[in-house]
Amino acid sequence: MKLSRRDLLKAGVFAGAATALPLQRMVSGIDGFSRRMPTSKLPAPFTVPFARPKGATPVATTATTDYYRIDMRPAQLEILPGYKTVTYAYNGQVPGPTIRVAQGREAVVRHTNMLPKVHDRLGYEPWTSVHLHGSASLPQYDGYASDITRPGESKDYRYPDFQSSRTLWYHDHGVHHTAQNAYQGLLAMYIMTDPIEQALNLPSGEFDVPLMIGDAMFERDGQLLFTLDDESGMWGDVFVVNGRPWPNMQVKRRKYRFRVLDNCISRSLDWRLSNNAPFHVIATDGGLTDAPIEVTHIRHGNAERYEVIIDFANYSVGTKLQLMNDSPPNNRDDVNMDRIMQFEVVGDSFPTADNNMPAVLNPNNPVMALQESDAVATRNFRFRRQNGQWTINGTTWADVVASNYEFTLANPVKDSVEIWTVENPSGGWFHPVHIHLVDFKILDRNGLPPHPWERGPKDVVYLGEVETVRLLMRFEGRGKYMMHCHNLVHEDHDMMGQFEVIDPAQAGDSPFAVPARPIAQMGPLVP
Amino acid sequence: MTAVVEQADRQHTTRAARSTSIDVAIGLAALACIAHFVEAPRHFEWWPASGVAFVVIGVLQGALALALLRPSPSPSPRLVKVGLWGTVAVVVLYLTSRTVGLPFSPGVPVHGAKLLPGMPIMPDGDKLVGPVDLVTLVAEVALIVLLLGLLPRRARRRASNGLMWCGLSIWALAILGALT
Repeated sequence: MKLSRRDLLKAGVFAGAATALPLQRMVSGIDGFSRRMPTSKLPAPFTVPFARPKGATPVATTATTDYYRIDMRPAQLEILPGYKTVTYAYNGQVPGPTIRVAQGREAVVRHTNMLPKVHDRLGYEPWTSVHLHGSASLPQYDGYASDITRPGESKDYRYPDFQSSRTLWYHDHGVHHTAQNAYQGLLAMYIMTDPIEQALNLPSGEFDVPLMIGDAMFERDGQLLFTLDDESGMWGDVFVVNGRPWPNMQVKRRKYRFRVLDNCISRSLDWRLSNNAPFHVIATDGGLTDAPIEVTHIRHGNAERYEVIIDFANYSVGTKLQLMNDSPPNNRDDVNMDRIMQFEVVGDSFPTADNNMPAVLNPNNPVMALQESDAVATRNFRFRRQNGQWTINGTTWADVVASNYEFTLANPVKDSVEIWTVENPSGGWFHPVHIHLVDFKILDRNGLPPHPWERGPKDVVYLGEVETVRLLMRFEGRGKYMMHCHNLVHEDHDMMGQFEVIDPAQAGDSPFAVPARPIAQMGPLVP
Repeated sequence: MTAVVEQADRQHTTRAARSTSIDVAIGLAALACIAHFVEAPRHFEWWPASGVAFVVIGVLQGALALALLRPSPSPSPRLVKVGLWGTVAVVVLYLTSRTVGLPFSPGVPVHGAKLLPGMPIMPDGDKLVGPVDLVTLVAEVALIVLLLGLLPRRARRRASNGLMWCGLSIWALAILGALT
């Protein structure tokens, strides 16, 4: 090779130009990774004490209804020790206050958006919409993405609470900003009980523990760092359980009921105990299974809830067990993302009355009693990235908007039973598919029986890479409801659609029937 | 006359220099070829035209590697020129895709712009640069420099001037904020 210095200099001008911009983008570009707090500054796993979400207290109760006020506003909270992180919080808490209700009592929650007009770092207007995930609410109270509450507005959501006992959660669903809003803290649990569950005498009180597992990434100043990763998702480098990074939970030598929610924006989990000991699934999204199901791990998609019993009776005091994460494919992993939290066995005394796991739970759940032969129709839904967009059957929420919210992907008749086949043809990503309004039964996955842990009533199904899953469901209720991917970045980038349950006798309510109003125009919460 | 000059230029390339730089160039072209084939399926799913482009680029880079592999005394200046400017085109295409975006690609949908009055447009999708991107880019830039060295003297001078102006143009656009 005969290159003179002059030639090299000229070629260097090109080489520098060609590589400098991509290099700059890679190391300090628009995804902001350069601002990320280094691993060395993050707390070591299992050094922060575990915490439980606080409960919500009704502001009023009547013979039939409990009333709550929840304000969404910024709050400075200590997530990482020594740092104050600005969050968006329900009533100043992340996770927000847990609402506990009994079947048959209606709840009315006044959600008030007291967030700033514009997010100071991300530059968007934080409008909100609150979805009570797992509730068969009327369309106008279901958190329809475009039924937004802007800063300075308020809306009363009515929750019927007629369904079976279950772990629900309420979280933001505001169109195109769900990921940002939920990431910053707009999420909380909502736990409903019923007589069937109460008769089982399952672990309760301090032994009934929500585990809201999220992930986050922080800037060097302790503020939340948000990235979109080419609209694929948001993957953090810190596991945050109930608002604490990789916490250590002291447990007594008995049975615990854990209500495990994957509230990560995009990350799916495959979790297990570090000693691979078996534990039991007692409930899924839609409530109790017919009997405890023994498993050693759970592949857990976003928004799925699994209730499990873990028995620490056989461990000696001082034993430390970790909740590990064998990350499913197509997540972005980082140091310490293979571990979620730790259980440390202590020798404290404990009550024994509810140290119990019955052999039979709820064998009469109507969803699980459905048979394939009950179905009157089969519909297919293809979830895929197409022409740069996240689509369902080639359509996005933009098509719904363009149709003035008339376009639907399906029109099942009220009380009919249908089989919905959801398909992900890609090997490059997974989709946790959520169907509003209904509970469903997973019939099969790529022609094989569902995984052991998902043999209960569900409202989210993990649609893995190159998977086709058949779901069986009955459509009770009427009106328009959403279905979407619960990877919230996919959702925000329009992987949403709607279906309308048709009642020949009566039109369904509009999702916009009860719009948010300025705070000053709101009447009294309690009539 | 031109043929005589070209013949003389061709003889100017030494056998020793050729063996090393050509071997490295073959390796770099093959590396870039493989990277494009590996990434093609993912891009095809995003936008079929993009997947096709990846396959075409991979095929051409593989063909370049094979052509350089031929046991002739030295690659013809025409082949080297085609390889050099073809690789420059690929690099510029990549830079465009990671900065202003390809004008004919589907691009990031303008979500929400017509949704409700006052709703802002969604933030643009990140145009990320991954490790595979960077390795491939560096391989292609190195390939360009190696191919430049394989050119006869006159052609090399013209090509190096072209590269310089190309580089200066990119720098100018970047400084003016046109490449964001």
